[in-house]
Amino acid sequence: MTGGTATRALQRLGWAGLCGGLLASLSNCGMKSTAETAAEPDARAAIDGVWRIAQASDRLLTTDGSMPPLLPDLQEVYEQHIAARHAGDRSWDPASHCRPLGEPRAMLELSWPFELHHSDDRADILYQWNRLDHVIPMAARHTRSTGNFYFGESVGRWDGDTLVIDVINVRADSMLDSSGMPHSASLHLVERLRTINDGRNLEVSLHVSDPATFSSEWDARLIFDRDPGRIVEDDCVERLQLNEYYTLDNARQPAEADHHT
Amino acid sequence: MALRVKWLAVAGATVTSWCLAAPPRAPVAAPPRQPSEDPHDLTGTWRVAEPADAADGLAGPEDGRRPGPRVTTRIDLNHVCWIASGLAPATTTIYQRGSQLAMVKADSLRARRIYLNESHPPKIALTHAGHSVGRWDGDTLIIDTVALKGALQTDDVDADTGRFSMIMSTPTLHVVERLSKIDDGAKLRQEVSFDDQATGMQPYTITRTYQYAPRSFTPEAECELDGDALVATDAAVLP
Repeated sequence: MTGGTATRALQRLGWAGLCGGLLASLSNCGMKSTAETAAEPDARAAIDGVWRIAQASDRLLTTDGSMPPLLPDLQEVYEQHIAARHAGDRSWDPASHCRPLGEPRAMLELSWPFELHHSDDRADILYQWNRLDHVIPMAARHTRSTGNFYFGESVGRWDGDTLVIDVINVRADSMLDSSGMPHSASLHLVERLRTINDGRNLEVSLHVSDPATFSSEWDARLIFDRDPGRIVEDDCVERLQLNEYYTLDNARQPAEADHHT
Repeated sequence: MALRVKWLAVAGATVTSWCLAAPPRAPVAAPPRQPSEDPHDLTGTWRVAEPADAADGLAGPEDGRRPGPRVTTRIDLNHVCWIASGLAPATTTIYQRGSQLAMVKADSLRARRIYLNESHPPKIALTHAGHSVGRWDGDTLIIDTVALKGALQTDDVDADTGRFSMIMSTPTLHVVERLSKIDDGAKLRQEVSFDDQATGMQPYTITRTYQYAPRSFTPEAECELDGDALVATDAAVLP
């Protein structure tokens, strides 16, 4: 190979690399991927409906069933929450004052159902628990400047027939589960929702990143059953006044005297 | 030349590796700019365009019945967690799925549901949203609501005075809404009629118009503050 040939070969290699990068840029760095455009509408529509956790639990565990890798200081906080809860003290829990649960806790809370709806520009997860609504703008980007919220700042997108919800800016005083699993304001949660078993179940895969709370990133997987029932209006404050905050059935069986006939 | 070739190769490899390593950015799909042309498809987000007038429905008594338990008031919403009824004016996102129509509202109620082609069950718990059933009459969706509780905001808050009208619900209050698309589907007209024959209440009708407003998102509202949530509604009524 002559020097000129080698130079031309390297030049072609350089241009090929640059073009490859640009093509990758177009396909992976801003444009819709094939998966984002090729999903079956029915598969996406199947995600809508009422869902309820298949196996009730007050603890969010990792995919292999172990405890999330809490840093030592946060492990101590978590154990304090559990001890206080066993002693009947829920002062550490914002939800005991009817503040929003946040996710993923809201999906687990006392097996209460939630209803999912989506359209082209948004998705809504409507929880029975105190009528909470997690609004997810679709095809949007994080602004990172809107402050912290119990449901954080969420953006959604489709990856094939999987709804991917990316959550940041979550208020640090919320808990990841009912047992009191803490997190920090740097929590980054990625939720992947899709139906399985011919639409009878909803699978929610979670990826949790929070270096201020956990020693490593971790994953969890939750399975929900499609619920043939309907969402019933719930008023947390009313339950609190009736001292029924942790009663499951009060929102489903209102007092007879209140009935319209 | 060698430097240029090297730069091209390095730049190409860098861009390639960066793009392959970086997570895909959220796609920015073009949102739907126009509502469906189907008059029976109300899906989408709707923002109040022409609010109801507080004077609506205040004409003289009809058929001899007296004015109902209707008050014009002002509530300090900073001091009470007051749950709005499904009839209060608020930006509303409508989803239609099978025989259910869900309205997600940017207020403290957050959601109400209308069950199509059903009757009210014989016994229903009183709720802030009430129990709503709907049917199509031509291109108008007629929604029938009963079993409401609490104070129902009926018109829009006056920006100058902060006042708005409320009806104090009773177990026999009956509300009929008529929803229809107008202006080639760009607007939604809502006519709401309140009637309570058991209390002799004068029928009361308001009309408001919503504008199609895709990508209207309301930030999370934190209604339930410690302690304040337990303040009775009456305690927050301002003079």
